[in-house]
Amino acid sequence: MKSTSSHKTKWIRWVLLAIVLIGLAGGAVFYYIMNMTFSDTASKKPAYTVSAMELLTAFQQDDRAANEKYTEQILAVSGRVTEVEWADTSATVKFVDSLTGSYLIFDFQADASAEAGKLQPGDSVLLKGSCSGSMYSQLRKVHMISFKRSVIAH
Amino acid sequence: MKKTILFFSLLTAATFGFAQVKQTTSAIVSFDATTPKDALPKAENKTVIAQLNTKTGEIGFEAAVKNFSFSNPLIQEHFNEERWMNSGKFPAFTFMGKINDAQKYNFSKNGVYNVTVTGQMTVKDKSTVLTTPATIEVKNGSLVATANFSITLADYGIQVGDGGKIAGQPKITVSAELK
Repeated sequence: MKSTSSHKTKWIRWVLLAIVLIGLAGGAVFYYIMNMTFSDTASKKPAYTVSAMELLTAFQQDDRAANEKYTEQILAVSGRVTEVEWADTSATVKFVDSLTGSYLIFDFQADASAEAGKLQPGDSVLLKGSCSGSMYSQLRKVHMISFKRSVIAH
Repeated sequence: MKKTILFFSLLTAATFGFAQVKQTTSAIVSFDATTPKDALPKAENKTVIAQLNTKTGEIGFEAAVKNFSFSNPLIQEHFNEERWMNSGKFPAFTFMGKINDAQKYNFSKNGVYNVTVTGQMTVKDKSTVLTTPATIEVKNGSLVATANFSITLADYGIQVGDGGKIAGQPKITVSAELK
């Protein structure tokens, strides 16, 4: 009788320990997920390296295929800066197709914005960023391909 | 004769020197759906297209949904998912509207103008009428437009659930320097 009771107590202890461990593991996973941040784009290897014109042409020729291929990928894009705009205290850089007016626009990581803001129209540069795909602008009647968390590739 | 030419030249310069349509491709729209239970669902898009016709008061904004940048990768992924913004199918948020009584304001003169804007806000192909106060500051030909308002996600078919982790009426902040 005593042996059965002791066996039962041991079993309950193991179950309680398992519950506590599962709870701790779940908490750790939840904490990790909630505190995840994007890693520095500068340290990421680009999935594709393309020129601005190649990318614009790809989207203009087959928007769906280009979106599937490039969206949410890190791309390294070479081109000649057409315009640097300021959004509050951070810069955005544009490569514009002079024939169609369609453009690529790059928003920068906080630590890369000051350097990007020094770029001048006409500068040749290689930018690396996370491609957000294309959108057709009803206001400007052009395609816009945007990038976030970009950096100047060195 | 020379005086006449000079007069018409100055008149033309005064008329067309201040372009009617002011625009930018780098307006900022912030989205804040945080609650006391969760500080993560907030994001910013710094590549928003904005346009204002200073004569007619017509104003428009277009934002690529996928270019809203969150600090947390998982929250950003959820934001773009089918049950949320479904950005693969609906790639843009738009607002197309007009400044109420636009003729009352002379946006060619420096100053701060408190205006009211009314228009159609479209999210996931569902449109609602939105009216919001806004401020337009004119300084030497450029205009800085700012507005703060809330939207009700349920109006666009987005259900946030009962967990209290996402605000059903997120705050939207708009800031655009139009040139």
